[in-house]
Amino acid sequence: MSKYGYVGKENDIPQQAFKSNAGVLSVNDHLALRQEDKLTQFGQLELIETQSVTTNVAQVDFDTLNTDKYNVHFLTANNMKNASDDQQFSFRFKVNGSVVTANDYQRSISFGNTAPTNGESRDTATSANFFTLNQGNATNEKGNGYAYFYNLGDSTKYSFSTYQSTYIDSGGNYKYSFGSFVYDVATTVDGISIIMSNGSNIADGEYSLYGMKEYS
Amino acid sequence: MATNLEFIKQVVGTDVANLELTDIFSANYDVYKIQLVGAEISNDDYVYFRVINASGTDTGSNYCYATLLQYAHTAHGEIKSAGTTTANYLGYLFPANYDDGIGVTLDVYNPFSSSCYTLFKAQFSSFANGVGLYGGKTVMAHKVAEQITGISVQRVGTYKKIIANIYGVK
Repeated sequence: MSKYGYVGKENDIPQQAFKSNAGVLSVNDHLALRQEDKLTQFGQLELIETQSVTTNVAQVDFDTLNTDKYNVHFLTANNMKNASDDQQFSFRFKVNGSVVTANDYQRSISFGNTAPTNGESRDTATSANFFTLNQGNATNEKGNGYAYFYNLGDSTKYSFSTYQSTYIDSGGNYKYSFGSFVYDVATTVDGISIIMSNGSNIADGEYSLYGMKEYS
Repeated sequence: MATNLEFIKQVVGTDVANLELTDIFSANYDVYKIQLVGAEISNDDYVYFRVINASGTDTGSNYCYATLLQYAHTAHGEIKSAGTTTANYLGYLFPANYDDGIGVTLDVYNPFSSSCYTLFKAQFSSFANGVGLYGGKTVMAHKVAEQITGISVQRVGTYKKIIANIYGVK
């Protein structure tokens, strides 16, 4: 019986791998190699989950990270709106399924806006990693942004993030923020939680988490 | 059909002075995304890079950069220069034998074009034990209109381990 179009000894049949497929592949070969993650398919920004918020919720949790496949995750937030005015969208991580609320994070952010004041927000021991700063929630005041997360599944490394956002602040000024944070505990992170830093609600938005697929 | 982000290759460096990302640029893409994770080092220092062209690694004064260093422990700082021999910075790791990793996303524009400079944009999150978070955002340029084929991720000292994943943006 042939395999991948080859007839002969097992040693003569080519090994299949991403970007190294060979032979004549049948439909069943395609299905099998896809399941084995050995089929060359481009599109390595892989959607894990999208969550839409249309009524008030306390947090948006991403509990499926698939860290066996991804070293880096990418999150997008579209039209995010806070239920209470003048609040910060923030990130926290989950360890063993529980949100880490201890001051085990460090953050550093730069911001600028159409008002004359630019500035920075930083902390070496915090539980709130601000994604937006003093975001307003009047009509049409919604925010957008993205974040990368690194090393979440590596129990020997800290978990890092870099991010950027743009929104309208509580004074009606157009504003941007960009920065990074670190969870400075070497452990496996198994969830990402988006919250308002003061515990108020998230009112609106579409939040998508992607994995950056890689092959060793 | 090829779509969006296309994985080019992964390079893992173990006990290396430089992480050589060779033959990663081609005519297939104009824009690239390089991500660095999992860093472990020998001695402390900043992370930076040089480009690799047909003659090897370009060590000439052909780089310029502007970096905003976003410390968590003290006020942010700016550092910039034109005509330097390295493209700075992609992070800072401290002290010697630090092994807690790094997170870097480096976007590369037009590296394979021989008619324009290669431009870079990076955002990083790195760490200095006993000091704090070293975040930052930076732009760099290789001010030679030439085709480059790769990047040499460097620092003073060696990487005990570092991983780079390279993608083309279709």
